[in-house]
Amino acid sequence: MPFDTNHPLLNVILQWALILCVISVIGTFVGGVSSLMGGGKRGLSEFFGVIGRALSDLILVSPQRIFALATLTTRESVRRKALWIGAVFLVLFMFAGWFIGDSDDTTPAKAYISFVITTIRWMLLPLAVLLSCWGLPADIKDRSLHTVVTKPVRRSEVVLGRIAGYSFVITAILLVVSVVGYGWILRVVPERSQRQLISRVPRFGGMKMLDQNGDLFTGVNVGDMLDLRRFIAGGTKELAMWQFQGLKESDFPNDQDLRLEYAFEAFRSYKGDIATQIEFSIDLVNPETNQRVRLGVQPVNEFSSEIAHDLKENQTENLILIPRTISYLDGETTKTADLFKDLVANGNLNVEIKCLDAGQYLGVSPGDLFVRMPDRSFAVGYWKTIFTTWLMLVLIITIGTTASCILKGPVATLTTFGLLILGVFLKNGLIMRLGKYYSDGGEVVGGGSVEAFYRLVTGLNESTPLDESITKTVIETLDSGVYAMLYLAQYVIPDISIFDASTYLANGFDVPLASCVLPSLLITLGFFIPAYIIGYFGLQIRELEAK
Amino acid sequence: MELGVSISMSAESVVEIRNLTKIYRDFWGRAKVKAVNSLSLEVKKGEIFGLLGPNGSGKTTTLKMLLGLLFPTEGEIKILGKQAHDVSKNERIGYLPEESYLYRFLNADETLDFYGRLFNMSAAVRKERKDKLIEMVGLNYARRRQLKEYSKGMTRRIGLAQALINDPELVILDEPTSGMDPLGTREVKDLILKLRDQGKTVVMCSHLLQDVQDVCDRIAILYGGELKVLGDVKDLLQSKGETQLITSKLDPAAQAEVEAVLKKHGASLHSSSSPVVNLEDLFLRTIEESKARPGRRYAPGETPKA
Repeated sequence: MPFDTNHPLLNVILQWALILCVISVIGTFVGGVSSLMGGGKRGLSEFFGVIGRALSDLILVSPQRIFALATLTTRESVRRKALWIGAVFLVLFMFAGWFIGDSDDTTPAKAYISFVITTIRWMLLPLAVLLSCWGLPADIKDRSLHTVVTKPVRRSEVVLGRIAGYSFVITAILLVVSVVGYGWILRVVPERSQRQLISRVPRFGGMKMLDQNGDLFTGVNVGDMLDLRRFIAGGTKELAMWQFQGLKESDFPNDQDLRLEYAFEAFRSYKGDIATQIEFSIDLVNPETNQRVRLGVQPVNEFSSEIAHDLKENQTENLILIPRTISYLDGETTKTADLFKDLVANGNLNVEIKCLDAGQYLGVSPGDLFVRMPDRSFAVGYWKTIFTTWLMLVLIITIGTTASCILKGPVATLTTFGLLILGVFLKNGLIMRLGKYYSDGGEVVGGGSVEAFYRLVTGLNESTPLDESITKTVIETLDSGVYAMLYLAQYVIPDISIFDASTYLANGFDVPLASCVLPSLLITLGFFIPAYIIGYFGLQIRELEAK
Repeated sequence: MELGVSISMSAESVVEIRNLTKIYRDFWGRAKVKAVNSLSLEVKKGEIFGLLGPNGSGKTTTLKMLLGLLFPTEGEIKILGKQAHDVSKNERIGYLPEESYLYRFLNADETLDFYGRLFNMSAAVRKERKDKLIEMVGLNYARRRQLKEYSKGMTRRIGLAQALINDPELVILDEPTSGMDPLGTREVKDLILKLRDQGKTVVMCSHLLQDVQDVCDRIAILYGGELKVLGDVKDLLQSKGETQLITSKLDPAAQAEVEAVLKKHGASLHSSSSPVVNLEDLFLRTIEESKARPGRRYAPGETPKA
């Protein structure tokens, strides 16, 4: 659930444009050389004629024709009973309440939200694939497309019309089921948990850890391999410091409190008093003047999993409310400090955390402490999640339609499903493992895929090194080739898991624009343009009447 | 892809084909069938041109190459002054395919509206055109019915209407009367003649020879993908060594006198019989009579009414 993106927008766009240009130049070069070899000067002139026509076909499209084709596609989809998927949703929502939700669950909203978003995603995804992969091949098979292309219709308009038509159908279905899903969530989430339906907006800061001497260190590893947290020792000078930036007074109008939300973990090296929470101190520090204000002491809330709520009664449940004017003790004297005038310098504020219980440890990670900006309504996060789902469906429709411009229905369907599955696998596991193999200099046990197959066939165990021979060189070269292809594939095949914003929503967070919505939009656009070009050429060079 | 010599169209040519060859290949690129072989012909503005030939002679393949649905293996095509792959030429072309490949879930109104949109016509023009065409093809009574409920003849009619939605300069008709009853056939033939009278050019292919004979000005006969005959229908069908006289009925004496006169001029009478109307005329006359006098049986031998 990343909130921050490491890829500046401009760099990403430039990188994409560069890749597209390189592929176009290579394609043009290969095409030009092939034409020259096949047809001499005339062949080359024909080739550039095709490129010129393609450019005009791709750019000079008629909105009216696209709209006409989109409307036709919509009618066709409706005729194919695509809207029936809505009935399936209704049935699911009617009975889902029986199986979801536990009265003891402290976060029941999470289960209901996850169910609705997951159901919408996984029911519309196959529909999008099937609609987009079968429409055009059926049109070609029935030859109704032939009548269309004997009108002044560019093949690019056919591709765009199809994509627009399917997108419209999917959008209509998505809107209906999303509205139903939203109403269903509001209805089924218990009254006591309705407050969990919020969209928290976190402002994260960079974190660093300082040891007893004030030097940077990576924290203590308490042996939990799966935990991303590192620990600071209690009762010592070790501390974790967050550096928040961009805090503006105007973001907290009407003297609103600044809220810090935390989710630390306690690690007890001895049992101690289990009824008493491990405690930590919080200091606010002006990064320029070093003015320091101790806010007090907070419990870790080791056993709380509920989303923090500002009950306005006191500072409760992992939420620290910092008033605009803070009273604090400086020795024996009580002083006051203005949050934005005295502690926040040019939007920057440091927060230091120390564990107070000697012999115990406090686990922290960068995301464990954040400034909670004014909350947004649940509806905002919900519709952002639906928007990213819509972008995913449009991407799938684009890929499916492109595949159907080149392949027959069943093959296009398998190809599209294959690409989607491969995209998720490539990002989540395969490439990482192969990358590890190569980053470790090939020392990983068993080698790459070709080497593993060789070992399987020859019965050679995985820890015995291969003999230095031509065989080893060939195997390693082939493995490098496989890795290079897969490495390339992970950038060419989209990973649809990026579009899943349900984790943010289910955990009570707003869906971040920079690290979720915008990347989803860019991925969809980034794939749309090359897919549109490929789809156009797929139809353009295809003899529709070929026997 | 066009190869071979480039062609310049004469001012009167609407379609010009030079050395057109089409070879269908298998998956491995090996030649499977040579559907059209070095075909060269020209269609002039304002004429009705017929492509004839048995099944597999290459006439439909030729039409599809004209329309850009198939790519020529060799040769060059110019249609309305443009290359076959230029989609802008389609602005001025109307095409009726062999089977009416239309969207069966649309009704006649929606079908014509859809094709009208593809020509970027305004709503008002589309409405005017579709009303006129639906009326013209006689489908007013069924304009709201989905095409899947249409008979073959009705589908051909709406197919014809969509081919004319843009008021084209060149109309390409593939088996235009296929599946139509004699009444519909006559209407289509009349329409083709009317299109010519309006200055349009019609290219049609058919293996219904009578239809072609009735309407075409010029024909080309293809066999095995090659052009075998090309010329004016009248010239091609005229028997130059004979003269045909049609008179009112002659009694045997008068006929003997005619034969004597012919003998005197060194000619001989090859045959003598009462003129025979063709079956289409008989059928149409029967329908007309039946409409005019319901319940009465029509006697075909009666003198035709003026």
